[in-house]
Amino acid sequence: MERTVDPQILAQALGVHETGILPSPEQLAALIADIEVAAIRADSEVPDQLLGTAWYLHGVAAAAEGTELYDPVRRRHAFAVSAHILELALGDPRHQIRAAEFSVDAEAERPSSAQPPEVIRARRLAMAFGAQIGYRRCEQDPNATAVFRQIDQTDSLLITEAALSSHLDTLAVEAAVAFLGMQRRRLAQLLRRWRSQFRDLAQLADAPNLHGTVYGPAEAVVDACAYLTRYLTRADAPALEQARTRLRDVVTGEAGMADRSARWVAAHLLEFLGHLAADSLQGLLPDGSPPALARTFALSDPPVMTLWPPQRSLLKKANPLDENTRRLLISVPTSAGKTLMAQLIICAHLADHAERVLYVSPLRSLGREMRQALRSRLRVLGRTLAADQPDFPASGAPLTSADSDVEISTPERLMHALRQDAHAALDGVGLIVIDEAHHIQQGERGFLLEGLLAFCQAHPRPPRLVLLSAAVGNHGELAAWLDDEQPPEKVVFTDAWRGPRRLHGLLTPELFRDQQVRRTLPPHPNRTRTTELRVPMGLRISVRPTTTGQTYSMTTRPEEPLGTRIYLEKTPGDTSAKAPASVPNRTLFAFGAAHLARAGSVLVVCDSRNSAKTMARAVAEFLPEHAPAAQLAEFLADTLGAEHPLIDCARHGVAYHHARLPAEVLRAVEDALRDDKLNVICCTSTLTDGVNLPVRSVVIHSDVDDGRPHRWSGRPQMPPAQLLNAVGRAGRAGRESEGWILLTRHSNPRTADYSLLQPGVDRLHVLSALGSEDALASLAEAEELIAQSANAVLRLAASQAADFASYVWFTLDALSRIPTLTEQPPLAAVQRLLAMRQLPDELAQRWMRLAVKVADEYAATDEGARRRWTTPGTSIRSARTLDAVAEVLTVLLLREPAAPTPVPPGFWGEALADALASEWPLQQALDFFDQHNVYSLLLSLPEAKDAWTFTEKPRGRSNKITVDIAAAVAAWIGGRSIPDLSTDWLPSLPPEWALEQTVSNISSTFEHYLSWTLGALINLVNARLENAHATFRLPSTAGWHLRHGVDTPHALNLLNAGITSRRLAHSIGRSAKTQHVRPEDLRQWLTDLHINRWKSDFNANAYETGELLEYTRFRKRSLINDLLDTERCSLQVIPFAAAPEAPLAVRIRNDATDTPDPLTVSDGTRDLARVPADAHIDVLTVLDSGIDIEVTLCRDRLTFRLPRST
Amino acid sequence: MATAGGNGGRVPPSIGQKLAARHGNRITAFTKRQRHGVQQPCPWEFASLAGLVPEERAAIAWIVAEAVMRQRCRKLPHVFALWRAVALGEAALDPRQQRLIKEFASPVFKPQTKPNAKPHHGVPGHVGEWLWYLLALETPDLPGRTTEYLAEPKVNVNDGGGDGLIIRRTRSGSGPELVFRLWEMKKYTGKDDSITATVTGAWQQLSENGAAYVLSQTAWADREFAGDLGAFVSQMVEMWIDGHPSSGAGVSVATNTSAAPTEAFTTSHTHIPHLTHPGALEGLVIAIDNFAEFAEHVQELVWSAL
Repeated sequence: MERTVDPQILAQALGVHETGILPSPEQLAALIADIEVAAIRADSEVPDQLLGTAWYLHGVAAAAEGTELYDPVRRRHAFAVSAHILELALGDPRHQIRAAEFSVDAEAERPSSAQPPEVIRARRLAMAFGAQIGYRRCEQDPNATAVFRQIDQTDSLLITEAALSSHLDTLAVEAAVAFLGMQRRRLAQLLRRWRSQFRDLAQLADAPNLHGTVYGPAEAVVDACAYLTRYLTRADAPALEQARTRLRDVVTGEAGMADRSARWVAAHLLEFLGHLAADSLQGLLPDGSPPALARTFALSDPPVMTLWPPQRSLLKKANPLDENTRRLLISVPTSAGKTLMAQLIICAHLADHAERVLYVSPLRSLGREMRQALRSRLRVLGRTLAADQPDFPASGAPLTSADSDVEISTPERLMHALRQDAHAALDGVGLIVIDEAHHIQQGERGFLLEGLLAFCQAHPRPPRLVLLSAAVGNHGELAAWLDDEQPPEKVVFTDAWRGPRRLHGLLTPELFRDQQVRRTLPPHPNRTRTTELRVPMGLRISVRPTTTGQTYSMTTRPEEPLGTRIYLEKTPGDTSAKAPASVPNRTLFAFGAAHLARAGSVLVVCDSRNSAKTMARAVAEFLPEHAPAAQLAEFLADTLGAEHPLIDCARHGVAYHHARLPAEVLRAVEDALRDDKLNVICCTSTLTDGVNLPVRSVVIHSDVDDGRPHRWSGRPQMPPAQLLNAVGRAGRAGRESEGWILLTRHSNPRTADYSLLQPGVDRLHVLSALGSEDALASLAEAEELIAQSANAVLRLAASQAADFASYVWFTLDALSRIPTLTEQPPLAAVQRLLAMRQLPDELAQRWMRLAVKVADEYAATDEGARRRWTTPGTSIRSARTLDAVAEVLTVLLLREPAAPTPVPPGFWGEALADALASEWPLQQALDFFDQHNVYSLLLSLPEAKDAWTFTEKPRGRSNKITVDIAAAVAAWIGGRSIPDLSTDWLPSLPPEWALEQTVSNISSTFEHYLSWTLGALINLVNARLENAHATFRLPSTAGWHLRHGVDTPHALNLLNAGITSRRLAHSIGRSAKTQHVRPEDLRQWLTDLHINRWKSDFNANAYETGELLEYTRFRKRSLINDLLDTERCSLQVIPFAAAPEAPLAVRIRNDATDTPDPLTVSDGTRDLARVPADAHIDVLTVLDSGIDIEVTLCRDRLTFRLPRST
Repeated sequence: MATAGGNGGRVPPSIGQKLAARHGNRITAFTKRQRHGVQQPCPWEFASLAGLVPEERAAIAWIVAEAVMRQRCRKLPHVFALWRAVALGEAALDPRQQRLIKEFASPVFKPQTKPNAKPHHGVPGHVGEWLWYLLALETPDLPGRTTEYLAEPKVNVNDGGGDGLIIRRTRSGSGPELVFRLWEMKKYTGKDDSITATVTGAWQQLSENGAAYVLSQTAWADREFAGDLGAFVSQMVEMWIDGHPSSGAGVSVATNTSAAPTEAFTTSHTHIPHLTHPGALEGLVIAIDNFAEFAEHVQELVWSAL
């Protein structure tokens, strides 16, 4: 926001003038701020003087480069300010075309003073172009896309369904607007249409083109846009020069004199072209980068045709793609394109190296998003993603997928892999990218991440490390930790740029005092409060457009109060007691959220699950039924039961989102918001911390930790890093240029409240979890215990000191097993911990003394036990317990008869050949665990914390309920749905509470704790069985079955390969098993069934069908790269009877609307063949690329060629 | 010969063409020009095409139509030749040629086909712009004053940009060497026979949007021109804003003879107060009997091949 409303910037942009045509910088700032604020009131008239000023500034900015009159800084500011105002003007109803005005009747009825729609249309296009070019030139690139989307979605400004002559006067501007939007698919569609129309007309005129005619300028601009698109998407350098020539022809009048708009946009594009060449991805990639790398980003989704400023700056300054950059910390705000930076670094590494890449995110949802995004990038690059295996490895299964290039992991999963075999886990890994690295400071999980980083640095052949975070205040310190041989500026990349501007504000209750009514209450024994004051209530919205400037505020209408606040007074003016019937502030804030939703989606971030739920219900009260959300409501009713409160909210376009809703529900809610089917989501930090879900407005409905000591209010305070993540969601880069952030406060607004939304750098220091009060208390306890007992380190449990001891144990084991010629101190990985650098010497020494004690104990332990106590990943004490349990179970097992028939080889058969051949069937193993109370035993370990806990009521001292764990495990693995499980387990509880507990217990117990410890136990048992030369093993993937809740290897295969729906995996698994499909043949079997059978047999919805297409896709091939590299590519299709014997020109029909349909090859009249399911995505990528292609079919070969002329 | 009125009984295009040719295809040959208000801050010129016989009107309409089509077809002379031949009744079009000519004649001039639709708002305005342009083009340079740039009429009739621009170089020694004048063109075909409101509106429009209008003409021109002219063009927006002596504004109204004033532009300076230097403002009234009908005549000629 400050960028364009800062009077200093405005003064620079405006220059000094004596006449009064232009406003002063202060007046201009006030005018812009007025419109910004008016937009919140949904009133957005832009005064003519302001618009005139915008055009003047555009003129300043448009002067040819090198003109002495305007220096580059002034031009840049002028571009920024004019873009901002012109975009605001697009929202002014006077510059909008109402659809009805196009009708003949309306033409007759239109007042004579009103402007014809075609005039408004031309003006809108000009304003859009002015805004877009301004945004592109002042490095606010995503806003240019936002402007395009705004006009492309709401107006019919870009005409393709009429003759060129009918919109020739605006055609060049249309093309330029589309190009600057840089939405590859839409752009390709528009340019293809217009170029084809120009070609037809030139042909009609028996001319090669229309150069030098009335059509010449527009034709040249359209051509230039096509060449520029080609340059950006195909790394085709000559195309840039072709674009330059065409644009120059327009500017000089050579192409034609009559189209002034074309000359205007051409002049701008010509200048932009120079910047484009320097700042495009291919321009910034190091010399020698393969062309496929830049194409990867332009041709996959979302398409990246140009980079954002911080991304460009990263490539220019920090050498992130250079393998000599061994350590890098990238710290940029949310909405600065951090995720794309990670993708760039990953793909560049892959393009240049054979080594694998690990991407580690502490947030599973973020990992899921990265998986989605990378999948499409890697597809174009012809590289692959590893399967999405559960955190805890199955014994014998490979720790990493050697045949894949990128692995997406949580810190837990990587640590487990390292504990199993540190050498194998990092073998061939050249780069590790750690996202959301500030999570280091988050307690137990934070220490795990810190340990992981320290270990990787202590590794004899450390991979490159790239850390990303939006919330790091102490860059220098972290830089020195990562690499103390380099100056911090070589290790840290920071940039304050972010996409959308932000407008900060407050929502506060408004008391309409002048309407208050006081009455005396009737006398009553013991009544001390004798009067009642009723005050009608409204909402105040206060905003501060600049950090230092004036605040503006507005209230809801006093004549339409939102409720009444009732005070019961001892004396008049006493506000100490509010009557329960008073309208809660929540209702007032809910009105605010509903109001903001008119401008775009809203996220209300609440401090608890309950608050999110009640707020959502309150917001829904203020919104009418919302037809686009009907489908979601229907899905939710099927999934959660019709009575669930979320369903009624959804009908009004509102939802709530917290960790105790089923994952598929959360995903559906997130998708609905992304697709604009929901208006408001009320959520906890689960959503804002983990999912990249930007919205128009964020309302923070929580107390905020301001760093000062407070009396405990009963409400949690949002910590600074969490707050940054939440406010960072405001403003959807590429969709809008501004985000609103409003903080709810229960008292009158104060200036100091605004600063709460912008925590200072000092509040964002990433500190080692070992320095926290809890950690130091646990250290003191451990020290006391050690003073009292000899082997106390082996008995530490459920504390940070226990985690530390376990880490020390692991590093001793792991470093001793990695072959190296360089000798390292045994505690090297402990000394590399951030804590050892950050904590005062005395504290660091105390931790090191504990480490030495652990090392002593390690040295005194036999080699077999050292390993066995490393691998489970629990505290040493729990590992010892598991080891002892494993020993007992092994004895019991050796007394049992072996499985009567060996299990047929499964998906993991190759990897687990020896083990699987003699594994027990899953059910037999589950029965064995049940029989020997294994689950209860595991649940008694300290690591279990509150796993498998059910209570009668959500809050307070509620009675616990016992649910049989073994039966629950069987039903879960058997595929029973979550609502059904909830009814089975907790039949007497209210459905919603039962469901919440079911979801939470499935997550904490099955998906995490029990699948981990059961897996660890099975590994220990199987190791003992192997030592005893037994002929059978426990099923090594039992923990994975428990993790996913499925009972067939087929389903496991699907879920590990990225299918997210347990229902679908189960359904396919059962069907495949019934038909005796071997797990290793599952991919081919599904390919042969094709899309329509997936829909009919397994009820696969659009999302699931997409996932199956990705699953069946033939890997290790990039059709589009083949096409661009060799100008042709071909594939086998499924021919119909009419398939031609000789090459025939065909086209590919995609009938899909909402859900994917098979792609059909046709000659225009007959269907000739079908694209197989395993090639569907690749063919679609070619079709969607916008590249002109010729397609022919001969028998079962479909061939794509680049036409000679392109 | 009788004066024209109504639109029936048009003189054949070939008659108009021949008469035009006899006068060197010059509009000024049919125009009476008078200077008015020389003492006003905004002097003005009256260019009268009043009282012409149908043949003369046909000749002027032909000159405009031909200029329009020549500009549109410029580097495809065979397309222009085809249009011209057909428009003069010397050839007929096959369907393919008809499609071709239609594409070149359509912008601005395509007749409305919907029965209830108003006539295209752009036709009279566009014809007015062409009249202004042709008059300016045919006006010879004065000693010591040369026209460096005269903007051709634009096909973008719906855009908000300025309508006309002239840059002149004067070597009088006093005042700046290069000056520009931004022109706003209006047409008046109303029934009240008073152009006052139209003129006032035009000045207000220039006052409010002048910077944008200058910009619409100059955003590219500093790339087109080399030397001092290019540098001058770069500064034109700034000069406009500052009311620099090099800047100037003009309003041209094309209207019916009946609405032609004897006194006009008297209050112009009050509507555009930031341009105060001598010679900053100029007016032009182009009057022709039944201007709306004349514009239709041009449209018919452009379209006559179809």
